[in-house]
Amino acid sequence: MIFTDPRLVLLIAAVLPLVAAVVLLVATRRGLFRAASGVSIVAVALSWFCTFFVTAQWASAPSEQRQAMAWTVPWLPLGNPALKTTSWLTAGVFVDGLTVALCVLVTTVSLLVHFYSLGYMRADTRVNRYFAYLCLFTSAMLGLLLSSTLLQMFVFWELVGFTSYLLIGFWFERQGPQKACTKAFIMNRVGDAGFLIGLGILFAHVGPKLGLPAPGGMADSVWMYEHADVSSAVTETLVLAGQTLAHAPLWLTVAGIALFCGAIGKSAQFPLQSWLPDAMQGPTPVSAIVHSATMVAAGVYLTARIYPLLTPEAHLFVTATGAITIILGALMALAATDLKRVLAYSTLSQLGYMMLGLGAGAFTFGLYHLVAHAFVKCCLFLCAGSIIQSMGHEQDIRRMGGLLTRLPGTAACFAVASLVIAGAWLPGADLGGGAYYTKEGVLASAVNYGQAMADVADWAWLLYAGPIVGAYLTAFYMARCFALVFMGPAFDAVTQTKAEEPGLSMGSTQAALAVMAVICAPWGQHFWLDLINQSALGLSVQPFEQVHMESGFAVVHRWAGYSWVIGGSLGLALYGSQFGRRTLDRLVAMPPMNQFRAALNHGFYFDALYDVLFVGAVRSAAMVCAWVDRRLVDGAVNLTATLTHFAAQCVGWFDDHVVDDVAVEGTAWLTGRGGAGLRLAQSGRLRTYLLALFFFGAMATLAWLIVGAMLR
Amino acid sequence: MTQAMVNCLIFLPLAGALLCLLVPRPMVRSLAMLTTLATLAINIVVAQAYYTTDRKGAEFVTSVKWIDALNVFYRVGVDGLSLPLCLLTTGLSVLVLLASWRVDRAVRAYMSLYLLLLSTMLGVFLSMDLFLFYVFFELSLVPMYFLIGIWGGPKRAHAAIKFFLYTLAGSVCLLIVMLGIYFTTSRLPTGNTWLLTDAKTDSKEVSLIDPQVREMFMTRSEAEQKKIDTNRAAAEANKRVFQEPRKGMFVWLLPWFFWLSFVAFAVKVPVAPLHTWLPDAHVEAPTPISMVLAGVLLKLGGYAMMRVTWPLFPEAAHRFWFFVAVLGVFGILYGALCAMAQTDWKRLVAYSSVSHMGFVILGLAVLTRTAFDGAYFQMIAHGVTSAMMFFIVGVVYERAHHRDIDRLGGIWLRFPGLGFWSIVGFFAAMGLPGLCGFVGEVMVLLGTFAAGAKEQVSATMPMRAISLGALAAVSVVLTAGYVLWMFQRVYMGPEHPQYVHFRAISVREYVILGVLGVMAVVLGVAPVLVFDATGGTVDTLFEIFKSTAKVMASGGV
Repeated sequence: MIFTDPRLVLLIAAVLPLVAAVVLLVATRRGLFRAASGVSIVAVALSWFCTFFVTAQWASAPSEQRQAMAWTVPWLPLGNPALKTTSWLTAGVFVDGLTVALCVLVTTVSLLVHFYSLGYMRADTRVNRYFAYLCLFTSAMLGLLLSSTLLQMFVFWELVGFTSYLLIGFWFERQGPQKACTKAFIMNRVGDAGFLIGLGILFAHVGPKLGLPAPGGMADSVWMYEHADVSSAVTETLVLAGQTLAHAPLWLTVAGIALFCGAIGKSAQFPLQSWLPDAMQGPTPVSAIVHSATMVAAGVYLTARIYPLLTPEAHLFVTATGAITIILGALMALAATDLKRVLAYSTLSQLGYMMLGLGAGAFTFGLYHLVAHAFVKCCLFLCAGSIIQSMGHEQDIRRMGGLLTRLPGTAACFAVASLVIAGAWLPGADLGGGAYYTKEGVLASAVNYGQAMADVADWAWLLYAGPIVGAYLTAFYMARCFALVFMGPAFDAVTQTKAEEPGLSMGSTQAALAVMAVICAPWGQHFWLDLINQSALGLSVQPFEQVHMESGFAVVHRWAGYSWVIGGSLGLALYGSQFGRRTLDRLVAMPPMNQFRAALNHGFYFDALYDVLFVGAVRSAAMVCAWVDRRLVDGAVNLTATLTHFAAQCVGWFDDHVVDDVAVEGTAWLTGRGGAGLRLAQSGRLRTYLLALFFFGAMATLAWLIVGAMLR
Repeated sequence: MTQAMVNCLIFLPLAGALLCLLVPRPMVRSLAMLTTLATLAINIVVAQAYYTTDRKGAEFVTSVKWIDALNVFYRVGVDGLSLPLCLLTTGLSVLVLLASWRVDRAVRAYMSLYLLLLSTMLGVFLSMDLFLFYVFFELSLVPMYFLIGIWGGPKRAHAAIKFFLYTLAGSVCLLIVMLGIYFTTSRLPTGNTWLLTDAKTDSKEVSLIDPQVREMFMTRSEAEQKKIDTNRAAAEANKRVFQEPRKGMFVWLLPWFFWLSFVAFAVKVPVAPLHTWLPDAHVEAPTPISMVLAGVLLKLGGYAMMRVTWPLFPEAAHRFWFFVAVLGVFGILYGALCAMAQTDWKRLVAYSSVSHMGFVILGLAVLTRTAFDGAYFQMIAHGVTSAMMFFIVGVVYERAHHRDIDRLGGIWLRFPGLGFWSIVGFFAAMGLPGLCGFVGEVMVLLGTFAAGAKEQVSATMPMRAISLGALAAVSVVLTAGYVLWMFQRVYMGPEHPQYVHFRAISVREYVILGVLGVMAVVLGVAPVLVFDATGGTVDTLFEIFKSTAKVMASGGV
């Protein structure tokens, strides 16, 4: 049945929000809240239904029917499009377990965020544009997930970045969002430059093998899956050159790392992490979907898709990047005072865990962490939105406190999500939240990987020690955040008494997400793992059962198993009571601590560094170029003109004064004077003539005599 | 019939230009509009007719002897390289005329000169004879000179003279090349000195780019060639052939010809550092003329390189690819950096043209199919986006009466519709995927990297090509930098109080923005529309490049 073909259904799911976005942008005016939200919610709901349908179909199908499948059309010809022999860069729809899993994740989160926005954005005047952008984002994100080639993925990769730019800068009247959206886009483009370089190197080496022949019968042919195509082409190239992935040539490592640079930018990994906290200037529901649950996780998705291309060196690079980001993000989350920034730092730290998992070989756990984290972080952000709104747009957690009684429902959701993200579990029952399973899996593989790498690098133990410390820090900063917001005395009693639980749309959404965050792992485990594993098998990546991870699990369980209790209770104890806060204040006021704290508050001075190193350098270079252009390059042109002009003036002068004045006018003058002189001779007096005749005759005779005498 | 239509493309606007001088004043605008619309319609019919052919070379060629003594023919026709640019020109001409609707000073002269300009531009794209090409190439300067010089801004006289003289100085180089070609090819048996394509005509003409002709063009004589070949066969035994490459009579001239003709067209493209006429001309030119200047006139340079320089001198193009590519990358980065430093909005857009046209040069230089296609597409895409950007600047300038970026701001709030189309236009120029700017850029980039992988030209090519590709890839960051920074300062922020009095965007303006914006999307989504037309002709060109590469690889030339 064509209508139940998952490729078609998912394509429809991706197109529906796009249609809604176009309708909203073209047809609606300001202030039509109901129409705008209605159109977009209907579109996204239909889209969600499509993905849900495919998921149900996929999950119930026997495993041999769950083949990866693609539907591609030729897009860019690599030659004359009229010839049959021409290769094409294709575009299309690719579906496998991972795609299905992430598509249903994206539409679910999107639908919930749309509902939440009904309450959150009610007062905004440009709400039609808001919903249009959200729909555009949903569509682009689904397009990214469904992409069948790396080039197509780059297309949607940029498009989600673009919608993210629009959404961060939604309140563009204000300084903050303006700067934040520009910064986000440019820092993403730094990563994208790497993505392009990676694409270029791959194209140069395996490009001819990537093309597909021109389409014959498009309807039913299940064409080759292009992601697998890349990997098989790479393998083929390597085999031809007598090499293997383990001892791959330099170009493959460079290409892998360059492609991963794109993921670094999008997923805000070290060293391009600083755009994400600034991106919190956007509306909070946007932060929930774009900047925590889905778009930033696209980097992880990309890394999963290029997984077969990554050489051991590239794997080390990915792992190290992840490990560094975990620690950096967690440390900065410790000191952040803005509620949304705490969550943003937490997001990039958690993205680090996903990268760590993929780098260290835990393909399944890394991606599973993506799913688990998406629900949790989305829930946390939506709670944050409710808190901020109820506090009259106050975002500083030091100015909150004691909200437990005012917002019990939100507090409950926040607490549940915090527990899940900290990796809480029930001892004895071996039952826990999502992060309990996923983080332990990631950490276990990191331990194995680090121990295996110990021969190669002395510092390899840091690759698992850091993330394990990160697990304690996660529990600690979440507890700190909870304590500062909900516990202790109120900072400002007046504001606080006005704080109210959010309305139905917002409250029910965050509750639903809290429930999903909890059930995602223990009950949904097999569902998600099946889907992800299926894609892992398709990529010939070993699923987790086959890796010997028992020893890793043992280590992790011993060292990090109770991190959520220890870190969490420490955080609650220190920040939940007046005594603890005062002690801590005194502690961090002391010399080494206060400097460290200042560094944390400034995000380790990365922004300052980049301002000088890159922004400043580029601006100066631009000024220099403009000066050179104006003065030297154009100066040379103008100088040529001036010199020519001068030469013309000289020639003109010469012509005027020498050629004309001296030569021509001189001749005339001479002739005139000569004439005047001769005129004297023409007096008409006989006497004068005779005198002259006599004189000249005498002179001639004399001359004749002299000359005759001399000649003789 | 179609042959006549191709001629109509040149002579209809010319007739319109003359008629404009005769009809009563109120009718001039409508007449000009009618002329451009008719030209567009004819062009579409020609395009459709071209699609029914095999699209391998020039079609519908008219060939009439023009100057007998010099072997000059009046030869016009359509092929894959000319057709998309013709469509761009005729399509843009309607929109530009719409944009000129409010010109009220000396309308008659304006419209007449504008139609004359249209005629000469189409003449350049359609001529298949180098001499005729040169004539149109030079003629197009004249109306442009007056259009900038009379209807321009305060410093219009200076800008117009600079534009005219600079381009003319470049053309002198072309004239030298033409003299060289004339004196080196006059002994061709068929005497077709100036034929540019292997056109299908009744007579047995051969073109300059025909491999056989090239052989004669480059070597002394057949007998001598045989002698050289025999010598070579003998020499191959002791490998001396590699120390003593084959030399034809005029081979030593080819690099000179290549560079001279390159410079001639580089001024027009413009290739940095020969670009400084461009910002001045744009800043002073009225909005519609800026649209033509950036949208079509710059393409004359790139087109001429594809039509003349590269096919006629492929050996030199192979030999000097790296220098040309460096010029291209330099232009990309230098133009972007200069754009970033501008405070005049129109100057910023002008410098962005320098940057974007750098991709055309880079794509040409590396001589891979993907990059070449990308370079061609970039010209079309830039034609759409630059016209759109200049129009947007004009729309705001008409209301604010200044273009100082730092004094603007909050345009988005006052004009949400303009904001929307500005996003389309500027992000298309920036290379956002899904819009037209991306396709050209990414194909040039991929092709540049691919040049690193093919081993036919020289052993040092891979590393060099990859470095150039990486530098060009980094330029996307700079481009995003200047576009977004501009966008932030001009469009974002609170509304200025004086904007209240600004006239709303009219339907006419929305039509122009809408058509260009939709074109940007259509070309970005379905780039194959362009390649369908160009494919066969580029195939022919690449046969030349490939055979040259083979000859060079085997130690020849």
